[in-house]
Amino acid sequence: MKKWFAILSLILSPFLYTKAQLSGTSLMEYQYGQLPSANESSFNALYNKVKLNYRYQNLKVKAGVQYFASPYNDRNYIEPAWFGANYRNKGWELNLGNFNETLGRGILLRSYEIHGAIIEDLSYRSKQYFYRDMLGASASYRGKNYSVKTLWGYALNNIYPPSEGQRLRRDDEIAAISGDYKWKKQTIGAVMMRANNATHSTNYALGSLSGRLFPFLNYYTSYATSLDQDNKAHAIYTSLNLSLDKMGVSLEMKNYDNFVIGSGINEPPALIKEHSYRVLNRSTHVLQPQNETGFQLEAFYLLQDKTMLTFNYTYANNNFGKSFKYNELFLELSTYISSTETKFFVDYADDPFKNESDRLSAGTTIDQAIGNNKGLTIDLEYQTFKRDETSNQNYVAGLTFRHHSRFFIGMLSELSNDAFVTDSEKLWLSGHLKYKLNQNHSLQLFAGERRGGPACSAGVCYEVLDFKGVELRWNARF
Amino acid sequence: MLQKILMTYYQPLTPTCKMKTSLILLSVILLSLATKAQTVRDFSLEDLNGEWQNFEDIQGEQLTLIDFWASWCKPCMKAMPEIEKIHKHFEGKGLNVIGINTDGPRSISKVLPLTKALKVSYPVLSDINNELMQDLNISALPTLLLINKEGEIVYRHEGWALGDEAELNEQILKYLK
Repeated sequence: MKKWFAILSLILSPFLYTKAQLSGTSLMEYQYGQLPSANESSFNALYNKVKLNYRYQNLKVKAGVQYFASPYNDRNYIEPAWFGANYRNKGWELNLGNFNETLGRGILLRSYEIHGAIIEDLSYRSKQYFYRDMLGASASYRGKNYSVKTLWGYALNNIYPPSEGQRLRRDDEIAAISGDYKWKKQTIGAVMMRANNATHSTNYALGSLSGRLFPFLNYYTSYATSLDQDNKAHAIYTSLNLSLDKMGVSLEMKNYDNFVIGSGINEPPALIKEHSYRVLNRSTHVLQPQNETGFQLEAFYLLQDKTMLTFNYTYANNNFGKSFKYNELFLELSTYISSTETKFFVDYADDPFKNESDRLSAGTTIDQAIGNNKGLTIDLEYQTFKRDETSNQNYVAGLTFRHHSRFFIGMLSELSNDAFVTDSEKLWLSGHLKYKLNQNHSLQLFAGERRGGPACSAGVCYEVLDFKGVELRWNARF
Repeated sequence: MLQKILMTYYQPLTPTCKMKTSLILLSVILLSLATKAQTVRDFSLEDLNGEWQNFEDIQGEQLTLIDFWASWCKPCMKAMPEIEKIHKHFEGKGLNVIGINTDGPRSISKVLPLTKALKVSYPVLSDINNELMQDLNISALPTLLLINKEGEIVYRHEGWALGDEAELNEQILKYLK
């Protein structure tokens, strides 16, 4: 241990005296508990990721590591990750190693990092950070009216945890070139991409047009297609944004056919509202780019200062021999009553994919200030729907007390009789605490039982497993 | 008491796991002590009308307030009217406000109409690839950064609750000479 301390001190000491900069983040999660559905007893598990950035003038070098430790050796791993270098100067940008890239608004390629999301799969039971990046190289140049980019690399398939090895996790090789040209507030763009993996390789082309037609009207439209005759595929996406005084409107349309690239390295715009309310976030429709058409209309209207009305209508149609038509109507009012911030929502949906009809959800969030630096937040949500003529209900009730935005303590209860989740009525009860020590360190404690299910964050959906036990998280920045 | 809790959970870990835990803990603590205030390197992002903007061209004379936000983030929506007030109050007094929107392809279409409806008048840039977020080690939304003219991040605030505007104003006045 003394040896390690000496090595670390030696490595770190130069940063105190040079103009170069070292920064980084660490997320550590310790759990003691079990999956309530699994036939196992509670155990200790530790997940940790550390990312370091070294910057000197225009050059940034990064490195990281993530590891998982539990009593089960087949789930444990230690993986070097997030290695790379980035150089930026006078319009040039070069990347080597791990980097993020999104092409054609995610239609061809989508990288992401969902902050704070540590995922666990029911098959592998190993934990990993939820992200998708590229391992390779890219170069781009941006001029006054144009930009060009070229990239090559292997996209991460995060279905497999690091314990399964790099070959499985990076099977999709991507090579792409893209460019765009701006002319009188209009931008024309094009991308050519080749995706190659162990089973097949396919070439794709994408063309896009975007810009401002009037001061109150912006648009974006793109068309992507496979160039291979034996693997026909296409994706059409269009959006219109209208801004009129106190009102804003977004209208989007989609038409995707056989547009899953490789192991699913792309993520075309879903056109499904991402809700922050628990019952709605869990009930989300997950995009099926194999075959999906539809549209989404969202409107915001500022009634008066800090009072906003949000309306959303979503329609999606999947045709897999049989047609599945998803409909959702959402309305939210956000306002202040004296020093109390309140939100009310109501949502109606039909989801044949999940065999849920007449799904009605409603709820409120009340945030009451207590004095200048304390507050109380109350969340109440209700959902009911029919499945095979059976009525199912979900309830959520939460209470959180805060002191400044530094200390939070609260409890959450969920009740359900959904036959897909529980045989009889079930209650999930938990307590949570968050304390920000300073600007760089925070601690989060969870104790109780957490309800799992689909979750969407930052536009990406994933599955959260049930958990019963104690969980402690330490977020650090340095 | 603390020792008892630590021993209960630390003891069952394997020796390798104990070593890894100790090493990581030690590294993080050492790094926390060794590193200085992070600085912002110049960046270029497209604004919501598709025009490229350089940080160096739109930063404040003395201080810059950067707000990282997303359309799906409830506390971000709560913070934006307060940030607009700060922008209006300190406009031309050495502080510039910049909004950095982090929406991905799924919700980027809603960002422009939302900012127009909210009457946001400070520049909003799109970090659709979340590259700037990673560069500045942003791990929660909203995150507010106060950056001085040397490019140093002098104040960082995560999340938003009623009453936070007073703390933010206090910090701005502290660094705005």
